[in-house]
Amino acid sequence: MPNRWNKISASPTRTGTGASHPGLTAEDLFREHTSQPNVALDEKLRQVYYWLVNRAVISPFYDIEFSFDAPLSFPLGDAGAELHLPTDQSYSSNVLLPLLTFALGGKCLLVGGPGRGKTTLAVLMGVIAGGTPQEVRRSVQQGQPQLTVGDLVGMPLPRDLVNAASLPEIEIAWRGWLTRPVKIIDEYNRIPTKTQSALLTMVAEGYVESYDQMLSTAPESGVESWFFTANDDAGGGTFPVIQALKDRVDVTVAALGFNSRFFDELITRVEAGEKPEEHVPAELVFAPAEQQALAAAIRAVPVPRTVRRQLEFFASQFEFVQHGGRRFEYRTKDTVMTGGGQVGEVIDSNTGADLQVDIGAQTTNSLSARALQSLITYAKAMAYFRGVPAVGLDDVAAVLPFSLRGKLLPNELHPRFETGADRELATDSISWLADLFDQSCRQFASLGLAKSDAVGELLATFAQGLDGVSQVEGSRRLTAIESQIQVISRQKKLYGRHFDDLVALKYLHQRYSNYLQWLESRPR
Amino acid sequence: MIRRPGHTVNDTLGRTTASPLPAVEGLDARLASANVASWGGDPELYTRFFGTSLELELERGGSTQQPMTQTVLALAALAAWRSGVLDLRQDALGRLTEALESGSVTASVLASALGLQAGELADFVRCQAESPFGWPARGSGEVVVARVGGFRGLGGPWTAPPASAERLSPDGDFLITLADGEVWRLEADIFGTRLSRAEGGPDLVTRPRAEPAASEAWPIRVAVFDTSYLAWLVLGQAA
Repeated sequence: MPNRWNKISASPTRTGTGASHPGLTAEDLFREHTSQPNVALDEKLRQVYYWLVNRAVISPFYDIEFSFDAPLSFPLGDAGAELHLPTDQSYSSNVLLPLLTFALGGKCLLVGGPGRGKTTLAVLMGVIAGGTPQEVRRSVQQGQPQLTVGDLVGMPLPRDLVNAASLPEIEIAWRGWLTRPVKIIDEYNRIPTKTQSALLTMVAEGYVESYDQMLSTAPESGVESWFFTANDDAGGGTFPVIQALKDRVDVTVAALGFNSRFFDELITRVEAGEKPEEHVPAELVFAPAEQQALAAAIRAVPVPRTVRRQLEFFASQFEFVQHGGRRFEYRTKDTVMTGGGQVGEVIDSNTGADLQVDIGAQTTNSLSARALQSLITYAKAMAYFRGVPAVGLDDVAAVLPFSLRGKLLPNELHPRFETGADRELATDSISWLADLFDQSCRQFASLGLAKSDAVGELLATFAQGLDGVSQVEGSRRLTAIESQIQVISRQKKLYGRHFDDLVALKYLHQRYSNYLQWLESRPR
Repeated sequence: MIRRPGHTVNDTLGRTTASPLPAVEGLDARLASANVASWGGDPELYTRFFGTSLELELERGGSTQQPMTQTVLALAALAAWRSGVLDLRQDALGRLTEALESGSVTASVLASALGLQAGELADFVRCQAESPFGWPARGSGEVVVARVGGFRGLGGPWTAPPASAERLSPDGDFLITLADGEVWRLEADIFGTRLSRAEGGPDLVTRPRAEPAASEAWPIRVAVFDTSYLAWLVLGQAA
């Protein structure tokens, strides 16, 4: 094996955190300190990342930026471009997000023109999961317009088709790729709609069905990750991708272009005829038990209350639209969309709120619970990868644009996208989503919501349970809810954040009213 | 003159030419040296103190006789602690006390692993029982024990000078807040320091210590100055 592939980054790959080694003894001095599987999985993951960016994939893009303090910035050109030099470890999105997808068992869509290394990256994930390069390459499913469900999942045995008296007697020769830990579907937007539906069952439910036979797609570790590639995610391709399948994608990452300053490396590879997937060092391969432990460790990373509250605030902005319906609960973008209306026009007709301040006005749809779940999981994975003990706001900010790309859609009629410096954000969804979250955090701070959260306190009080709550106390809480609604009612402008608060307050009001009615009806 | 981080106990050591460590069967000296470096110690100091003490021990036992493994381990632990590996302090002190009580290793050999004179060893053990900063030749008045931190451009960890310091425990546990708001944790003893970024704030960095708290006979504090990127560990007058 050529030496240039073997170099693995020396541990620790992150400095300044957790450098103590309590309980050291003299015997430890003369021992080789190899990584212990359970405690150093994050370190191994970082070593894989650095091997991928330094050896395997020519990707000198550090677009996921982390800084301890303000990064050094250079203005470039006359169109407002800026280059930031971050002060903490920063990462290349098109390598890190697929790696996190592998680690947590997610679904990643890699978009970009042909020849940008999308499939190579997905194949590398398959090799890191323990497959041989040949096996992984053979298991890549090539999307094409004639791909049938049978081609994808396997065929019934012809003998059984002739002899079987009932469907359960038909044995299916399942395709081998179905149970691999890393599943790769190349050019998924070229797959016919019917086959996409079969794919959806696999992706969403984790099983595949044919002739009444069922096969679970879970591999030995129980952690399966999916990689889809497409030349674009804006509706191109031979067949439109069904919405339900699109919605299952956890993160969308663009494969970035080739940097011509790395031409020498390209020439070396051409001359040596080498492929990176054939040279993955054995130390970087994750065994099934390690994959299981890795996914469990990621899910165990806590999300502190302060981060949750900021996420709540961000997510609350997008459902409400003032003229979306008549009843309060129906004043949503979903009501407009399902009713065949144009959300952009409805937002435009609202004169009661300041469109520049209303973050929700920038989107034509709202966030689904599934999208938020993906966001939380990837934020946990990012925190785990960085070796920090809990999810920070910077972890959320780093993954949010990739997690919500294609899920939160820009309202092109919004004044922000029409003129001025922000016009480019209409097509650069990653920068726009990052900015949207920034705006939300700034608004959260300026409204002083970190210090006081009246609705949150009312919900927390209710969460303590109703057992033993007296009639007087119940009535007092009802009054507190009504006065909180009154506070919002007095403000003349209504925003998305108020909508979620008001719906929650109505819910609390109902729960307490029902409880009080029950108390009154009880025989004394 | 640019002041660099370092420990006062090392300031007067002077330079020596590195001589190869005597071979000890079954123990990999190169690996130990690499481990010392990875745990924050100075491998050159380790080689120096371990080499000196081992040579003395070999001279004492005769050149043909291999020293006992336990003796080598005790000397290695002392030398590694002396070179700045904080986490070896407890093990090294335990082995030192045991060797002194059993008489298995002479005081001069043990003292050489710590860079001390044989006559200072008993005092050193007594002082260390009182505080991780206990040192026989303490002197009078306030004494600078160590300089930590430094400007990143000159090889240090910080991009802003330290603005304030808070003592978490008398055992050498501190929180240092930089002028830009970053918070760092400093753990130290007489031979070594460890700086780590206090992610998660002060709540995450306080942890109970197994050993009893140091006595106020060795009051230690961190001094910071507007004009320096270094933080100074200062041992005050006994209360």
